[in-house]
Amino acid sequence: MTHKSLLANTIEGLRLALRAGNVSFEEACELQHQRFAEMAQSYGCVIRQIDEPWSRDLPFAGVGVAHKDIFEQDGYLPGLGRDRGSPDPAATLAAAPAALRASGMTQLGTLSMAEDACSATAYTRKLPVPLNPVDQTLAVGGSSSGSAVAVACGMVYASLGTDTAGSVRIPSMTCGVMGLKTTHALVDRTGMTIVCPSLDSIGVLARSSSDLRSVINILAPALPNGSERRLRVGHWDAFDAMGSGAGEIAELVRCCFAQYSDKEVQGVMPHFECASHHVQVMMSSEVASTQSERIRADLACEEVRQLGLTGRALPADFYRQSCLQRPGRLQMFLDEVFGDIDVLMLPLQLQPLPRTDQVYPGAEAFSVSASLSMHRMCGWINYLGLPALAMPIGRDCNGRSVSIQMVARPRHELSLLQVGELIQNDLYGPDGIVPCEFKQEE
Amino acid sequence: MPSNSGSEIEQGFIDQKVDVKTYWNEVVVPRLADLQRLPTEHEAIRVEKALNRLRSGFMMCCQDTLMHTQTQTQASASEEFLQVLGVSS
Repeated sequence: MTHKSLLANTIEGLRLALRAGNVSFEEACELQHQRFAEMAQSYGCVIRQIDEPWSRDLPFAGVGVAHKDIFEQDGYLPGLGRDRGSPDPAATLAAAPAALRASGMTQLGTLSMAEDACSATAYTRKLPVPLNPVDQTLAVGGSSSGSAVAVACGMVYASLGTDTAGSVRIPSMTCGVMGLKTTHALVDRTGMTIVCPSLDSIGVLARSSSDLRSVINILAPALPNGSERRLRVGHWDAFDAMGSGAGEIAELVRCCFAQYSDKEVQGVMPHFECASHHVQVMMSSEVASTQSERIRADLACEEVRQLGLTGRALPADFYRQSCLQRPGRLQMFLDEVFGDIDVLMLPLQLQPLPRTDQVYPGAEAFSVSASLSMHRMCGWINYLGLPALAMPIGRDCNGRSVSIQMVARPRHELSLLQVGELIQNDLYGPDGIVPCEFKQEE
Repeated sequence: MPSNSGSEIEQGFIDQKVDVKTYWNEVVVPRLADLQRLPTEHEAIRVEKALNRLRSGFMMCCQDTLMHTQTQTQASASEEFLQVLGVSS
């Protein structure tokens, strides 16, 4: 028997199989270990395997997960994409992975990430760059790159990442999985390395809406429930404004709008422009501060150094105004955009997913527009602090995944998952997105 | 526009009365003096482009609302932001 035939694709499916005796607890644990080790070799997304004991009597006993290497572990400091981390007897497991462990989930390992969580791609200077399970010539997005790869190929049911300006949504988009960025400061960040204190949020990557819901209910148990009624969905067709109104991506995304959205929302562009300005100011200023010593000592990677140099150079008033305007900007956005809708759909990507040779540093065919297209639609949501869901909606003519994003009011993650579930059921069925590795076997 | 930077050159740059080259030489170069490796020409050009772009953004996004925000502190704005989000700090 293989892990393919015994292990269900979703957490709920696994729990049902365990309860029904279709797979024994020991078999399920062994198969997940085996799967994790095999695929770690194939995809190069594992930084360190962890030999954590499996819980037996907790609600999520038998569910294997692995997380971005940005969280402190018991006795170990994270490597942050710089290296593989280092032992530290004083280190204790960070709050978010600890909450998952307390529910019975077992962490199988730590996963690769862009260096210091500051790049939209998976590229790192010193560690292996993970391969995209969808197509190995395609770039993997960052910075939670290993999380997206591990979920996409079926190594784990879910993975925690972090999102400063798209770092959960971008890798989810490139690997064709679902990625939920939570409301800013909703999930406890204790023990997580902070890159930009005003922007960083913990996120979850998984293959189904129900798995995202299982994890978010553990991390933030007091969220408002999704609605009994059909949620009101609006959309913002940003393609024309971004100069990419024609083409296959716009066509596919517009089909999704036509099917799931009730109305086009006007007046989003000014919010996008201002929030995009402020997030650049905040990110460069805060990276300059948190990475100050590494930049000074010339240890920082290119992305961190460039952000840090810009942050140091900015007039102080820029950062101050970005901070001061934030609550008013958020309130204005909520009043003007969410007056009569619950969920806003909008593009996540403006172009087809790029190949590695278009966006990794030093690449032969490096394309500024391909690189910009990966993250342009993301950061402004971090300035507003809102929850957002990356949702794959199909494939383009070259088999590359196409995704949209959805945004909701603060703390309305479950509304996003409710709409996400509708789309998932229509496109992939109730068992969610099928892992790429499994498809290759068929 | 009120000055909060404590620097005439900074304010002049914001008001577009000081060009980016002067701002670079007078303000940015001293701020980067402690770096073990000074910016390459390519890096300097990228920073200058970012400065120009963010100055335009500042003019577009901040000028009309400065009067509403100048009495607030960053700490109180952060607290207010978390309140709008409905989360605790």
